[in-house]
Amino acid sequence: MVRNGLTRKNVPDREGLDVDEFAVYVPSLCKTRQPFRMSCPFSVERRSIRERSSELVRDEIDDESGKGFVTQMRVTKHRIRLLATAVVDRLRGQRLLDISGSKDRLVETLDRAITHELSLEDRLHEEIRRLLQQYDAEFQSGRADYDRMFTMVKNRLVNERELIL
Amino acid sequence: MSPLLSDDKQTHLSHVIAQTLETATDAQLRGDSVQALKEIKRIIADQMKLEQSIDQFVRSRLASYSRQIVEGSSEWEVLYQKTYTQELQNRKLG
Repeated sequence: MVRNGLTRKNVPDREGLDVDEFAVYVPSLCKTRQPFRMSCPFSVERRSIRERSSELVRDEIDDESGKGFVTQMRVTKHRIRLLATAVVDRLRGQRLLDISGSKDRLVETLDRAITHELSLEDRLHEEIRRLLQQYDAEFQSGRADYDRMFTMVKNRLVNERELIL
Repeated sequence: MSPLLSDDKQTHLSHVIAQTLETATDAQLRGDSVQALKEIKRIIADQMKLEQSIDQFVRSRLASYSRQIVEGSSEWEVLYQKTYTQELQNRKLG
């Protein structure tokens, strides 16, 4: 994974790194069990580092599994299936739903619709990351702030498209 | 409000589910559509409560480990998923 010119295998001295760069190797250090302190050379809240670090891990999980892992709300496919099944069972139990075909097929249809809806924010994040790639040089040189730009673009797209996240 | 899905998101999701059921070829909503929508919202809210309770259980379990695991690390994520799945099975939901 490359972020601001850094890869997990290419982590230089921690001095001079910003949150974005620092977060890249928090998970990799955890993985290799190297001793480290949650410290940052800049005055950045730990929360920001954790969130960015978590986001990067989620990217990696998505990349590796390729299963459309919906992580934003910790709703896995299994839990979405539980919800879809509960909807069908309870509506049928209250005689609010008739099924003429296979129950499993209906649950699968609902599962897909729920998954699509709940992965909306993940897909939006991916779109913004792709949009911001063209400004990599500005981010690296410090002429632009990645986090601020990300938030601005996200707010604008959410408003323009009237999205409910 | 659930920490997992906002009220707005739950409401929107209930509409998405209702619309999916209305357009499904092998299913038909019966009676008052408003009643069905309300019931779907209740089901989602119940599910969120369940998720919240399991989430709290899993987080407290991970926090109780003698070796501190940094939240957000890949190790934490893996343990979270594993413990969550175990708890679902314990509650006969998985």
